[in-house]
Amino acid sequence: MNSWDLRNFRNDLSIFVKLIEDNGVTGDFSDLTALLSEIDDKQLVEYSLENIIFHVKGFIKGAVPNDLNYCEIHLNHMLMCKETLDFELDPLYRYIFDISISSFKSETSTEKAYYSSWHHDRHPNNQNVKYTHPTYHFQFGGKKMELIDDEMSVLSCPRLPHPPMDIFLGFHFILSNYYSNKAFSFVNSLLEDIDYQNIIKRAQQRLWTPYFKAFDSTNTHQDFTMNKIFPLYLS
Amino acid sequence: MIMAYKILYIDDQDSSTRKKDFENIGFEVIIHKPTNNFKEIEVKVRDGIDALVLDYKLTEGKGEQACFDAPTVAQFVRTLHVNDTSDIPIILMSNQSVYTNSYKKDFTSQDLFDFTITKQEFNLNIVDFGEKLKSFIAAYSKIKSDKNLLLSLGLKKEDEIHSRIALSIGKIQKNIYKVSTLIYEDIISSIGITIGEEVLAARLGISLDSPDWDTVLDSLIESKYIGVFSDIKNRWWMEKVNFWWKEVISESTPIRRLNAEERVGLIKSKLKLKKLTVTEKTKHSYSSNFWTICKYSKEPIDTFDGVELLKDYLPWQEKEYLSIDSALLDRDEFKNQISKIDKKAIRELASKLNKDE
Repeated sequence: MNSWDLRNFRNDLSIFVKLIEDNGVTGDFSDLTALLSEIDDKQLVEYSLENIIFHVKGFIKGAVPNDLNYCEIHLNHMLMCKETLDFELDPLYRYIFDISISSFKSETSTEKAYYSSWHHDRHPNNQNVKYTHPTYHFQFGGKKMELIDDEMSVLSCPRLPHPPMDIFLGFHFILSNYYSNKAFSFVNSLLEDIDYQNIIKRAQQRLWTPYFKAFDSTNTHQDFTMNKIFPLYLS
Repeated sequence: MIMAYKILYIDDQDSSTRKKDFENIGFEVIIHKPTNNFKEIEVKVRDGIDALVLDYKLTEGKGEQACFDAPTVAQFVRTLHVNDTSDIPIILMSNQSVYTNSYKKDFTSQDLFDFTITKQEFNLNIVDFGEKLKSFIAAYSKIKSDKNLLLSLGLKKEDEIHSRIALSIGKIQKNIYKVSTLIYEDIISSIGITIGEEVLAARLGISLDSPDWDTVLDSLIESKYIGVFSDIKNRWWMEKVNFWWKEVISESTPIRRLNAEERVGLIKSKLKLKKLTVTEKTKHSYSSNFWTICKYSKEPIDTFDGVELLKDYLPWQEKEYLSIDSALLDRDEFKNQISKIDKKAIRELASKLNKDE
C-alpha cells in the first residue's frame, strides 16, 4: 500500500478534522475543512494552508515579557509530494512550514503584539553552504521578526535538524509544544485517542521513518543520509 | 381494557380494506374523504385523534375532489398545533415510492411527516407498521408529559448530554413533532452517541450469530437505551458501553486500540463465555479494529478502511462509510455521496481486480 495514497490522506484528514472539532481544540481550522473539499480535485497530495491559527488562551509560563496571557500561532504550511515516488528519495517536491507566534497581554487587548517565529526550512543541496545546513532544519526568526527590545539580536543560526512535517505532524508539533496539557484537557484526550494516534503514526511512516533510517548503518536512502540531515556528525 | 388509539385516515379512494387492516392491528379508525373544505379536517383533528395517516394523492377520488395532496393537509394540521402541545404523528402512505421517498428524512428536511411508507410495504408488514405507529403515538404523549428531553431519552434529569443537542433542544422543546424527530431521526437512528446492535457487535468484534451474543447483551443491560421508541429500536449509549468496557472488560486498554480477536479474547475471559465468534473483515479491508459498519452490507469495518459517505452530519453523529467491497458494487444510491478521490481509487482497484482475474 502506498502511504502517500491520496485516498488514505483524504480519509485521515476527514477523521482528523472531526477529532479537532469534537475535542474543542481552540483556534481557526476552517482551512482544513476547505482543504478537504479542494483536495478532491487533486491527483496527488499537495496543498497550501495559509490561515491556520491556533489560539492558546491563558498565562504563558516562562515567557518574556512575563505577563503574556494570550497567544496566536499562525501556521503557514505548503506541501507537495513528488509525482513519482522513490523509496530512496525525499518524497517531497515542495515544502514550507512557518510558525509565526503573536503573543498578547490579554485576549482582549490585542493592539500590541509580541512576535516570534520559527521557520522550518528545506535545503536539499548542502554542498556549497557557508554554514551548516541540515536538509530539514528549524531556524529561529523568519520573515516577520520584531525585536522585543533593542538589546536583542536575531541570528539566522543555528539551523537545528528536525524532520519534515505534514499537516498532521505539524498540528501534533504545535499541540505538543505550545499547549499545556494541564491547562487544556483536549491535549491529553487527543494524544490518547486511538484514531489520532493512528493518523499520526501513518504520517510518521510517510515522513519520519525514512528520515530516521538515515541513522541506521544499512540505510540506502540517497536524500536522507546522516551526512545530509545531520551534517555536524563527522563520519 | 386499554382504549384503542384513534387514527384519522384520509384517502380519496375506497378505504374499507385499509380500515379493516388498521382495525385488525388494534386501532380505532375514522375515515375521511377529502374535499376542499379544510374545516372538516380541522373538526376531526380537534376531536381528539392520536395520529393522522394520509394517502399522498387526494385529488383523484370520485365525486367532489380535493385540489391538494397530502403535504398540504399535513402542513395545515402542523400549523393548527404550532402554538400548542397537542401535535400528533402524521404518516404519509402512498402507492408510489417516488412520493414516500421524497419525503423521507434523508432526502429532504421537509418538516411534515414522522415517517413514510408505501402501501406495498404496509401490506407486507402490517403488524410492524402498527407497532411503529403505536410507538410514535406513545412517544408523543411521553414527550408532552416529560417536558424534558433527558427524561424522554430514558436518562436522569441531572445527566449530561452532548452540548449541541442541549442547544438544539432549547429552540424546539415545545414543538412535540420536532423533539420526536430529533430523537428518532437524529439521535437513535444514526451512529454516534447511540449505536445499534450491528455497530455494537462490530465494536466488540463479535459475530452476531454467536450463541453467547445474548449473554454479552445481558451484561450490557445498563448501557441499553430505554427512552421513547425503545420498543421498536434496540440502541445502546456508546458512552455507557465504554464505561462497561472499563468496569467489566479492561480498565487499561480502550476498545478501539484492539483488533477484533483481542476484543473477543478479553470479553470471553472476563465474562467466562465460550461461544463467541470473532467477526471477519471484508475481503478488501486491511484492519479488523472495527469501529463502524458498511452502510450497505452492514458488515463491520474500521473507518480507515471505509469509503466515506459525504453528507451533512450533526455534531454528535459519526460519519457513515461503505466498505471498499460495497463501493466496488458501484451502486447508484451512493454515487452522489462519494468523493472523487474515492471514486478514482475504487475504479483503479476494480480494473486491477479485472486484470487479475
